[in-house]
Amino acid sequence: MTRRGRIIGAGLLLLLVVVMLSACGAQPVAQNWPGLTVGGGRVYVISGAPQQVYILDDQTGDELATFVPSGEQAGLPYWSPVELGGDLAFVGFAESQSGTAGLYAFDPETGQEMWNVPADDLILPAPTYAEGVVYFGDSTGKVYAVDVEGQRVKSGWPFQAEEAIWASPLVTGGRVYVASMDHSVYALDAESGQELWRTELGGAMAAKPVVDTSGQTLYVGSFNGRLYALRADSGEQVEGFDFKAENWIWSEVLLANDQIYVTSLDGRLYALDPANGNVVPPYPYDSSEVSGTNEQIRASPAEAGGYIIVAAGSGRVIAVDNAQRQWYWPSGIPQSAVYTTPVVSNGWVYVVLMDGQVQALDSEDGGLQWSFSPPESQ
Amino acid sequence: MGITDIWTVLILRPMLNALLGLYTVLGGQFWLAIIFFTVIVRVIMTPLMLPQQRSAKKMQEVQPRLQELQKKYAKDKEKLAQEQMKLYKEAGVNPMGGCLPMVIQFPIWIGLYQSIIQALGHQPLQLLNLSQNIYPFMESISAQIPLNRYFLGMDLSLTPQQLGGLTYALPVLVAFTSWLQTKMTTATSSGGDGQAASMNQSMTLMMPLMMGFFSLSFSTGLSFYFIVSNIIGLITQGFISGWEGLLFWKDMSLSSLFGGGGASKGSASQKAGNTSSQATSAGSGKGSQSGSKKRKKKRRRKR
Repeated sequence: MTRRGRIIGAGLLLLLVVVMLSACGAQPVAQNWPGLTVGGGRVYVISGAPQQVYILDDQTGDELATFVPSGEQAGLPYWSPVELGGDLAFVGFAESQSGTAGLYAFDPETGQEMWNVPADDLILPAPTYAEGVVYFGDSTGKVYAVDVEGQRVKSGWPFQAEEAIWASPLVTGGRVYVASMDHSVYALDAESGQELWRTELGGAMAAKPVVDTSGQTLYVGSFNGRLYALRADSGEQVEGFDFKAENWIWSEVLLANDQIYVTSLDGRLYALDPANGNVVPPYPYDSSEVSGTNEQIRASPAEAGGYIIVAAGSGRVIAVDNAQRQWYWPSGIPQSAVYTTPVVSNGWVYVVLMDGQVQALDSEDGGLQWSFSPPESQ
Repeated sequence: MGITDIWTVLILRPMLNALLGLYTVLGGQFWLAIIFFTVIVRVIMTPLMLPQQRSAKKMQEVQPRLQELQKKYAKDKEKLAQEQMKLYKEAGVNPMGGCLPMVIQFPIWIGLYQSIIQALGHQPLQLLNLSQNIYPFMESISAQIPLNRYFLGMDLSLTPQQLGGLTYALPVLVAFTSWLQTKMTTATSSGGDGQAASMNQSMTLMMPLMMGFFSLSFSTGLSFYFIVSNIIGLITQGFISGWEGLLFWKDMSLSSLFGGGGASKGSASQKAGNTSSQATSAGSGKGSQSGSKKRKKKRRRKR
């Protein structure tokens, strides 16, 4: 090899190192899916770049207002989905550069910031509003209860779990049920924040527990692929209930038609017998059989007009019933993945894609009613 | 199957699952998993690394002959280059041999970086990706999510820039061990003409500095890999060509910093090569040559 060849070779090598290592050390981006909430004639979606809450008309998709916390937002923003309660909207927001994190209350019509309460870390799950109190968990494992009228954390709170809280709290019957990444489900007194019981299960949980209509049984899915049924009063596991999917369960269960519907990252929608967790034929419905690709279903199932709506990782939105299957995607070609649970409201199905685009579909035939793209993703 | 899929199947998944397997076996300590993983990678790469390290030793042995050639063909650069290549060929030296292990290590660095980010992910999409890359027979690891990502209170998935404080010592350690390793290697292989030698010198300083700089924005877990890997490299090179190259403080000077392992009187190459100052000054170019002569004069004066 000549001298020149060696020098060029070494130069190229250095260049290669720089390019490849630069790619590795690139600035991280927020690694979450967009939040989507529908209520009061409006759609609230976390979208755009930089991200903000877009407030849209739910019938036309017209942009009505936006919300972003006041102050300079130079760093990476982290948002929870929006929760509506009383006459306010609530959202968790954090910003990487300043390190600020907290619960923000804003006017649901104008997007005007009303007040905020600081938290210790990112708030990833949607807050839960119940009887004048907003409950939410953060990534340090703290569970807060904020009195809306007093605009401060209630006495006795926050409660500290051992790992991050990625699931929205369930508030019912004077209790707060929280599933944690520390593999435990906690029952807390909604007033005092005291722990009533804690049940350790076999895996991390990032889905909100769901209680049956009798209020006696809680269902919660786990990253070990199991769906657990717990007694709401004691936290004991319901005897004889056993179900395991072939990959993680990240979704909330849907209780409908006297069945439990649950999706898994294995790409399947399961219908289960609530008594024992047995799969009810003709389920499971395997989305990859139809799409021909390896699907992930992160989003929880939703119900609309007798159909179970499933949004798959490939971007396909599908309506399923016990007898037939029907494609819902208007163009037939998914443009971006969907990990956010579709929201059903007034006969329409609202979907948000990973690129931030919102679509309103007719729940009868999947026809596109309107779509909204934030300026940056158009 | 696209390039991304090929990368995922051939590089990312095997590395990720190896790390996860080690994590399970080693009692849920990710830092231990990284260290064992590094040792395994170095063992696997030994057949590729050893020839390069032996080549460095041979390079050291041909230094006197290289010096002679430089003197003989001082006015005919083309002939000098030809004769040098002939000499390299006869001695079984590959002047660019050091590039191959480095090129092979790139995918390992990137794959490991991605594996650490996925395995220790603390944001939803990172874990979503992880769930798709765990082999079915490793399914039990899912019950251990989230993995223990701490070592002495340091989050192995975050960068020193994010963590601050004492974690800035890691990039410094990466740069230092990398410099030491490069110095040990180049101390024995810095022969050649002026341009190649000066390029070698630049590499000796630039590569470690670059590694240290990039470690600032890498997860600290990857810095662990770099440091352990460099230490193993140092030990291997030490067994092949002697340990004198580690005694860098004995001859700390600006020229030695810039790759002058060869210019140092106490360096491995000099002692092993027997005609060290001549050989290395030739390898380090004219500047180093005159520096070496000055040091010789100083030594005579001291006597």
